[in-house]
Amino acid sequence: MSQLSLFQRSFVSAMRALTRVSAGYDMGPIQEEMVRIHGMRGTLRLMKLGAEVTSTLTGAVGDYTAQTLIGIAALWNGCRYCVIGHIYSANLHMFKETGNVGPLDEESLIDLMYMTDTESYEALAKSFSGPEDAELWRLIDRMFQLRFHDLTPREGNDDLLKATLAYWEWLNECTIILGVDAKPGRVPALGYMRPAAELIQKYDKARKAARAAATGG
Amino acid sequence: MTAHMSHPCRPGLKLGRDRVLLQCLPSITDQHEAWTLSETEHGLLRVSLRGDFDEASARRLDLTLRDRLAAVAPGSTVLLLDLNEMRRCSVGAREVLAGLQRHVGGLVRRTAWVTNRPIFRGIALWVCHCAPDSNARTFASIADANGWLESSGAREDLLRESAGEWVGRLRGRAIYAKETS
Repeated sequence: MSQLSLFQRSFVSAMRALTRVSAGYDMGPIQEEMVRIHGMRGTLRLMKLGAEVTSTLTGAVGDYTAQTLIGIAALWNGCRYCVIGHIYSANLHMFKETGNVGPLDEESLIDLMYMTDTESYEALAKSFSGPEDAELWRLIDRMFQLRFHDLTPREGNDDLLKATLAYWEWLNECTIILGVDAKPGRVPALGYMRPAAELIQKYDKARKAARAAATGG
Repeated sequence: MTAHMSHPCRPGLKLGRDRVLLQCLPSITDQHEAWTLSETEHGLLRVSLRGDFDEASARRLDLTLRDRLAAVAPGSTVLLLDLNEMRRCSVGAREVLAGLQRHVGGLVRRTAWVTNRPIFRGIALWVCHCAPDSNARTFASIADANGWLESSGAREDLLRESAGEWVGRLRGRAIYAKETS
């Protein structure tokens, strides 16, 4: 691995500080890896495109759906850091808005990644089978077809889903340095949610209760 | 090699080079409990990994592939690693695979890691990234790997261009929506 110059290290420090202020978390060594791989201009472009995709997706489908779609796109790439962080963020959005914890438990995500693509598709279909999830499931299903069955984009949000898939495939090149070993509970809520400590505590309590209820405990 | 030629296993059937590479029945040249190495006469080395892949198995594969590739002209071979039957991959095995990718990256023209399980796509991506080898990439199916093994662009460039292209389309759509609203 090449060493960064003093200027590049200063740039990384500034990026990390900016992320802590704007998103509320530290991406650890990921931004350093971005600069090492893409250079400073390339990293700025990467971050700008990410903000653009996230903002367009959120504007089109809302926070919860956007974070869920991003998490699933990352799941298919095999990045544990992104799938855990974005699904956690989706769940916090859901909990904040409805008091429900969301159908995908962060603790179940690694098991989902060990499944084949077809098996995980079926597991996701089961998780998002409620009437309230119909539109989200339609988007996940569409994204699955675009990702695995070479579907030609032609419907309303297809370009947006393709942009999400393509961007996270590019981003996961660098996030994989943490994403290969990331574990639930150790990844922050990714995106720009900046959840309050009180919300996190309430969510954790509700999630534990949901797990206990599911196992009959 | 011509763009179209007869399929060596089915004479008379005309196919592009990638089809010849990947649809031929390869001959098994080495076998181990956790992997099988096979090759076609058209320069495809295929390694199928299976079961619980540990560090000892990875080291054995590393030695075998290094020996095998020492005898071939650099750039004359493409490598396909099929992880579809893999069930676990230890951290030690992963480290050995990264070292192996680093070594073979200078010898084979292209590497494709194929697996239908996201967890192993992540591990393979980590291997390609850490090697680092821009001519190595992960895929969900062998069919998807075909084009890659025949192409020449660097992985990072292709991913950057693809992301740029799709985000560009969104911008075009946003501008269109603004102009027509």
